[in-house]
Amino acid sequence: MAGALDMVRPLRFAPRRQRAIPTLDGAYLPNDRLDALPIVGPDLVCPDDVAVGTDGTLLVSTQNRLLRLSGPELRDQAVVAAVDRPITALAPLADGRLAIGLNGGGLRLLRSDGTVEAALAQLGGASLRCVTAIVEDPARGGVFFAVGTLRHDAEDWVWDLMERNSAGLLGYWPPDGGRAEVLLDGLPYPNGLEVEAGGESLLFTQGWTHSLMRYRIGAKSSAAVETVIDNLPGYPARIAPAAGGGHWLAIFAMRTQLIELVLRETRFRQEMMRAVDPELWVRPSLRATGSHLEPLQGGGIKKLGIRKPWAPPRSYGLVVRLDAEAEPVFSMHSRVDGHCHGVTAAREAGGRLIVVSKGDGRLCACDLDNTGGRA
Amino acid sequence: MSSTISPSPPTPFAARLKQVQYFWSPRQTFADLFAKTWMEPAIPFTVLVALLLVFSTIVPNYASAYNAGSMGREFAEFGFVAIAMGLSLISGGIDLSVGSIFALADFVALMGFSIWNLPVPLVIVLTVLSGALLGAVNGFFVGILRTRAFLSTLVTLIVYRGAFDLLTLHWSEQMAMSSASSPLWDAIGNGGILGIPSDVWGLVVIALIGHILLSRSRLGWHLTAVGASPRSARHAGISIRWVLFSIYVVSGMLSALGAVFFAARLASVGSQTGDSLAFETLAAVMIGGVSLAGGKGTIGRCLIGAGIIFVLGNGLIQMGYPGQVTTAVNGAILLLAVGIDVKWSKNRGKAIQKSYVNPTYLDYGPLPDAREGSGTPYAMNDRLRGAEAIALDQVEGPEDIILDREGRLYTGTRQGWILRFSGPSFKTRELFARIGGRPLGLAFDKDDNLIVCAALMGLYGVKPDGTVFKLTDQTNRSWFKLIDDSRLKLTDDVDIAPDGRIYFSEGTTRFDMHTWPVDGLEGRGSGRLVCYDPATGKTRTVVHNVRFCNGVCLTHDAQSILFCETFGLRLMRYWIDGPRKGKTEVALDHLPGCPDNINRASDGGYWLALVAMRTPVYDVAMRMPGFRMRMIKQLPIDEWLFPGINNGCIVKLDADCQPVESYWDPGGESHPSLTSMREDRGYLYLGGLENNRIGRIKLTGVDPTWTGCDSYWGKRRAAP
Repeated sequence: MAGALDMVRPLRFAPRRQRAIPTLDGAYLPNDRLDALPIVGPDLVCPDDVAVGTDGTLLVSTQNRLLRLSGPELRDQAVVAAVDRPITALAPLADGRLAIGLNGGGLRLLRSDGTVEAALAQLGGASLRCVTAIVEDPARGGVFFAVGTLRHDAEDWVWDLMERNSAGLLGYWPPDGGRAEVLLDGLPYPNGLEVEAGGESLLFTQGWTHSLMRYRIGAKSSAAVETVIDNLPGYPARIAPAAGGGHWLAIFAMRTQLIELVLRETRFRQEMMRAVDPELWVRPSLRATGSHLEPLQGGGIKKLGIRKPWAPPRSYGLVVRLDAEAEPVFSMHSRVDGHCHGVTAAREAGGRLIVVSKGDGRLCACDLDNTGGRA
Repeated sequence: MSSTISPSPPTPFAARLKQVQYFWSPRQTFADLFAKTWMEPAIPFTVLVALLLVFSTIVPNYASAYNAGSMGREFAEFGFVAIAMGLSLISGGIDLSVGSIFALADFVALMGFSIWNLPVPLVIVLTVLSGALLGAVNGFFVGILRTRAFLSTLVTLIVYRGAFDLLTLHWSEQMAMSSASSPLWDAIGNGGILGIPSDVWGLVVIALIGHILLSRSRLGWHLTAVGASPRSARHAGISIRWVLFSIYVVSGMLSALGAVFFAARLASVGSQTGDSLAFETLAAVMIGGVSLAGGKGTIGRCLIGAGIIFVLGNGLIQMGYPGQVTTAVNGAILLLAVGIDVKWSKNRGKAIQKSYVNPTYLDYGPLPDAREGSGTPYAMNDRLRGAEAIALDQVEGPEDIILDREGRLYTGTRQGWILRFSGPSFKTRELFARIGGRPLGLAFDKDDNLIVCAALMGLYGVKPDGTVFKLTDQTNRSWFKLIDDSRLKLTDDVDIAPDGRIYFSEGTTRFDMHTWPVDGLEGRGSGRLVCYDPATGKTRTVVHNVRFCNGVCLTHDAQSILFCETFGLRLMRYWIDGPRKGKTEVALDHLPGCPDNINRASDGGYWLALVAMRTPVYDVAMRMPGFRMRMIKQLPIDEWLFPGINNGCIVKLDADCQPVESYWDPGGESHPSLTSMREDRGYLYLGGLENNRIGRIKLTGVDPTWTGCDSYWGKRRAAP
C-alpha cells in the first residue's frame, strides 16, 4: 500500500526531492552592504576569480588575461599572463607557479613569468572544458581542481543547469604535471574549492544542488562525502577561507520560484532551450540587462519609477560569511536594484575582503575590521 | 527577422489541434457553474431523479398513477414538516420538537373533529393555532430568552411527547369509536383535485408562499441574515428576538398543517405518530443543502431533500425491507450530509478560485524584430530618453492623458482622481474631480465635458466646472454565459463619434484592476467594445470576446472605431458607418508588444502605445497552457511570467494603420508601462499606468497648431 502511494505521489504532489527556497532571513537578511562597498581596481571586463600571489599581491583573472593589481586602491595593473581563452579558475602555488583553468581548454601550469610549464586537457578520455576552481594541496604540492561539467564549456554553464546534468568532477593533478586522477565524479556542478585541515579534506560548493559539501581525501567509501550546508538560497560559486576561522561563500545568482518551476517543467524547458536565445531564458544570470526581450516577473514591474529591491531576482549579489562550523553568520547583499551582481569570488587579501562582481564588472573591497569582527 | 529571437511555432496541424483542445475549458465551466447559487441544489435534485428512476425499474407498479398518488399524499405531510425544520435551520437554530408538535396537532385535529364535532374549517384553524402556540413556546425560549435552540427544543420535544402520550392514552379509544364524518374532511384526507391529492396542492401553495416570503420579503431576508450572523444582523438593526420568535411560531404552524392532512387521512392517533419526524426531516433538509451553520437554504432545497429521504424510505419499504433498514439508511445519509455540508461550504470558494483561471493555447507567431538597428519600424531607439518630465512625483499612475482647448493637461490617477495641470510648464496642479474607481481612458465631448472610463465603476463624465455625472454602468447581458456580465467593471478607454455615440472598451469581464495581466496569461479573451448612445440612454455591447479590449480611437473619417486587442497583439477596426457598418476586421496584426491606447496624430495617422513587449519566453509559455496553469497554481503572482511591462514604446501608424516608426525609452528608465500618448500643439505627451510622471517630447515636422479637440469637434471655442 505504501509502495503504491509512493508511486502515485509524484503525480499528485511535486517530487519529494523538491525543497523550498529558504527565505532571506536570519544570517541572510537582505541589506545593501555590497552596494555600499568602495570600488577598487582598474576598469575590468568580466573579472572572474581573485587570488593572492605568493608575493602578497592580488591576482585577478579577467577574460583572457591574468592581472596583478597593486598601488593605491589597486589602480595599477600588470599583465601576468595572456592566454588564448577566458580564464575560469586561478590558484597560485607556494613555489611561485600558477595553475589556471581555461574555458573549453583544460588546466595549465604557468611558471611565474607566465609561460606554460604543463597542460592538462583531458582526464579519463573526457575534455576538461569547465574548470571552475583550483586549489593547492598543501601536503603534496599538487592541485585539486573542480570541473563543473564535462558536457559544456564554463561559459555555457546555464545549459548544464537547464539540462539538469550531474556531470562534474573533482580531480587531483600532481605537482610535476603528471598523470591526473579523478577523486569524485557525477557531481552537479562543483563550483568552488577550499582545502581544509591541512589537506585532509576539501570543501566544495555544488551549484545545481545549492549545497556546500565536504570530501575527505583518501576515504574511499561513500562516507567520504558529506553535506555541510543543504539548500542555500542561491547558486554558490567560490568559497575561500576567512581569517580567524570560517569561510567566505560567494553566491553568483539567486534561486527563484519561477526558475525552480522551469527546472521541474521538462517540456517547457526543452521548448525554451530549443526556441529561445540562452540570454533570454528564464534562468539565473550574472547580470540582468533589462532588455525588452528578457522575461519579466510580476514583482519586477516598475511602479512609480521604482524597481523594487525585493522583486524576483534575475541577477543578485550575495556574499555569505560562514563560521568555523560552516554556519552562516551574516551576509552582504546587492539587491535587485543594486549594482554589484553576479559575485563569483570573494577572498581576503591584505586585511580586506575583495569581492569580484562578474556581473557588473567590478571589484569591491570590504574592510575586515567592520565586517569580519562580526564573525 | 532573426531566428534567435523568434521561436518557431509547432506545425500548423499540431497548433490547430492544441487550439481545439484548449478552446473550451470544462474547468472554467465548472468554476462558473459552481459560483451559481442555483447549482447547489442541482446535485440533490439529480439524486432525487435518479432514485425515482431506480425504484421505477426495480419495484413493480412503482411508476403507476395510483402509487404516485398515494406517495404524493404521504410526501406532502412530510414536506410541511421538512419546511418547518428547514426554516429553523436557516434561522441558525434547530427545531427538534417538530415531530411532537405534529403529534399533538394531530391529536387536536382529531379531538376537534371526532369528539367535539366541530366544523372542519374550525378544526383546521384550531389545529394550526395549537401548532402556533406550541411553536411560540419554543420561540419564547429560543427567541426571547435566547436559550440554545438545540436544548430548548429537545426539552419541548420530550414535554410535548409526554403530553401527547398521556392524552392519547385517555382519548384514543373514544376517537377510534367516533362516527363523525364530513365530506370536506374526507376530501382533505383522501380526495384531490385533478387527480392530485389535496395535501399536495396545499404543500405547493405553502411552498410558493414560503419561497416568496423567504427570498423576496423583509422577514425572509432578516431570517437569513440572523441565521448567517446574528451579531451582524443585530448591528444592522434587525430585531433578532422577534425574527427568531416568529420563525418558531411559523415552524409550529407548518408542522400542525401537516398534521391536519395526516389526521384527515388516518383518522386515528397512534403512539408512533411523528416519532422519527425530527430525525428524518433533519436528514432531508441537510441533504437538500440547507446548512447546519444557518443562513443558507431555500424552500426548494428543503423539498428536494425531503423528496430524497421520502422516496428512499418509501422505496425500501415497498421493496420489502423492514423499517429499521430505512432508519439506518437515513442515519447514513444524515452523516453524509453533515460531512458534505462542512466540507463543501468550507472549500467551495477555494475550488472555484482554483479553477477560475484556465489558460488556453495561443500562438503569437514569429516575433517582429524590434532590436536596435534592425531597420524595422519597431527598431529600438532612445527618442523618449530625454522626455521632459511633467508633474514628477505629483501624479500616481497617469494611465491616460488629455489636453483641453486651453492646453490644460488632464489625467486620471490610481486614487480615483482627475488631476489638471496648467500654467507655462504645467506647474499648477488642481484636483479637478474625484470620481472614484480607477480613471483610465479620457475623451472630450462636443460640449467640453470630460468623458472618463472609471474602471470598476463604469462610464462617467465631468463637466467643465468639475461636476461628476454617471453615463452608464451596465450593458446588455451576454447570451450563453453562465456569469452575469451585464455590470461594467474594467472600463478602459473611450472615444466619441460625431453623432454623440460613445464607444468604450472593457478590458475583461473576468478580472479586475489588480489582476488584469492574468487575463493575458489565460489568453481567452473576455473583453468587449461597448457603445453608449446618449440619445436613447441605451448601452449595447458591439464586439465580444476581445483578448483585453483596450485603447479606442475614432478614425479621422469617423467611419470606424479602432480598438486595441492587448493580449491578441493586434489592432482591430469596427465599422460604425458606411457600407461595412457593423463589421469587425483586423487593422494591424503581429505587433511586437501589447497595444494599449491609440489616439489620433496630426498627419492623419495614429499614435499607438505598446504597454509591454513580447518576450520570447512569454511566447513559448503562451503555447503551453499546462505550464501556465501550473505556474499560476504553484507560484505567487509576483513570480509569474509577465510580458515585458518595463519596456514599452510608442508606434506611429499611418492613415492605413501601418507602422511607420517608433519611440522608445529602452529599459523603461523614466517611462516603463507606457500606456498612452496624446499629440497636442506640436508635442507628444506620455502617460503610464504605473508611472510617477507625465512625459513630453517635442515633435518635429508636425502641425504645431493641431489639437485633439479641434480634430474631433472643429475649431470653435466653447462658450465661456
